[in-house]
Amino acid sequence: MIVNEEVAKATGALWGRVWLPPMCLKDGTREQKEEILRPACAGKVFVAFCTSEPGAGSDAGGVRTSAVLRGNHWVVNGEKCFASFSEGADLALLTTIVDSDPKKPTLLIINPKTKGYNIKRLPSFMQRSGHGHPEVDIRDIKVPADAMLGEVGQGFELTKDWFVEARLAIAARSIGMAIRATELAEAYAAKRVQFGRPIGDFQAIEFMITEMAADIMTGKSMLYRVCAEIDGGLDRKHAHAKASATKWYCSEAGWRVVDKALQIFGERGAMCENPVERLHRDVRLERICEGTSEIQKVIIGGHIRKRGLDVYTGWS
Amino acid sequence: MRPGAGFAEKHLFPHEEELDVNDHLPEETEEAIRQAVRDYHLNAVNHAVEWGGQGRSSS
Ligand SMILES: Cc1cc2nc3c(=O)[nH]c(=O)nc-3n(C[C@H](O)[C@H](O)[C@H](O)COP(=O)(O)OP(=O)(O)OC[C@H]3O[C@@H](n4cnc5c(N)ncnc54)[C@H](O)[C@@H]3O)c2cc1C
Repeated sequence: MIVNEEVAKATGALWGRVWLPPMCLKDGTREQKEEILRPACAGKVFVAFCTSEPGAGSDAGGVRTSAVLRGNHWVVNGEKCFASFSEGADLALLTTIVDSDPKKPTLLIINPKTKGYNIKRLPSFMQRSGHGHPEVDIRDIKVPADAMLGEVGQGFELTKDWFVEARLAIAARSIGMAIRATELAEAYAAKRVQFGRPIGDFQAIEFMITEMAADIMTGKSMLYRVCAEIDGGLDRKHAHAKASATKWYCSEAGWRVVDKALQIFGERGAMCENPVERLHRDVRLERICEGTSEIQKVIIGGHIRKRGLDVYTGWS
Repeated sequence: MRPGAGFAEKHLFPHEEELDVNDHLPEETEEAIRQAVRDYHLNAVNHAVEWGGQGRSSS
C-alpha cells in the first residue's frame, strides 16, 4: 500500500502505469499463470476488468452478459461499460452469467480485439489519463471453453479478495493525493501575501491546514492499521468489513483535503497547470470506483448487523 | 527508504501536464515509464515473486 500512496501523488492516474495485474489471476491454472500472469507481471500484457454494464453498476449482481457453451467454445453476448483501458488491453476478464442464470457468475478471459467485441463509444471523462472507459457491445464472441478463470459460478467469489486489495489501494491513493495537495497548499500559504501578511498567518487558513493534516493522519493510521491486521492473519470477512470502512473514510477525507487545498490557492487553484486542480479531479473519482461511498456504507451497515459493532469498535 | 519513494517525482511528475493537455503520452514516454517501473522493482508488487511480481503483501 505504501507504493500506492507514493505513486498516487502523480496526477492523471499516472499511478496506473505502475501496474498491478488483477489479483484473481493468482487463482488461474498453472498454464494460465504461465501464459497470462507472468507476462502481466513483467508489464508485457495488460489485463482489463469488465464487470460494469448499463444495468449493473453498484449492483454487480445485475450483470446480464451471457455465456453459453457450444461444443468447445463459449458464445458470449451482452454489453459492458466503464472498463478502464479495455480499448487498448491485450486481454480482459469479463464477468458473465452462464446460460443467462444470475446464480452462475463466471469470469471469462477474452481478447478485446476479437471479432464481436465492438467499442461503441469512448466518452470523455473529467480525468485525462490517456486511457478510456469504453462502452462495448459484445456480439457472438467465441471464447475457448478453457479460457475461464476458476469454475462456472465462481465469478464473484474470485473477485472478493481483490475487492479488499483494490479498496485499500484506493484508500492509499487518496491519502497520497491528499499529502501532495497539502504540501503544495502549505508552501503556497507561506509565500502568498495579502493584507501585508502571508495568508498562512490568517487563522482561517491555518485551521484549514490543521484539519487537512489531522484528516490525513486519521486516514493513514486507519489504513496501515488495517493492513497490519490483514498481514497478521485477519479473516476474510473482517478484512472485507474493514477495507470498506477504510475505503469510505480515506476517499472522503482525500476529497475534503484536496478541496481545501484548492480553496487555499484561490483562483490559482483552478488553473489546470496547478497539480492541485488535477488532484481535485482525480480524487473525486475515488469516491465512486470499486463501490461508491454509499455502497461502502451499505456494506459497513451489513457487517454491523451480522457481526456487531465490535468489528469496528472493539479493538485496543 | 519507503518503497516507491521519489519515483513519482522523478518519473511521473514530468509527464503530468502533457498528459492532461493531450490525454495521451507518446509510446516512447510510456515505454520509458515502464522501464523505470521495472528498474525500481515496482512492477506487480501485489503478485508472488514466483510469477514475476515483487511478492509484497497486497495490504
Ligand atoms: C475511474 C473509474 C474507473 C472504473 N473502472 C472500471 C473498470 O475497470 N471495470 C468496471 O467494470 N467498472 C469500472 N468502473 C465502474 C464502477 O465500478 C462503477 O461506476 C460503480 O460501481 C458505480 O456504478 P454506477 O456508476 O453505475 O453508479 P450507480 O450504481 O448507478 O449509482 C448511482 C448513485 O446511486 C447510489 N446508489 C446505488 N445503489 C445504492 C444503494 N443500494 N444505496 C444507496 N445508494 C445507492 C450510488 O452510490 C451513486 O451515488 C470505474 C469507475 C470509475 C469512476
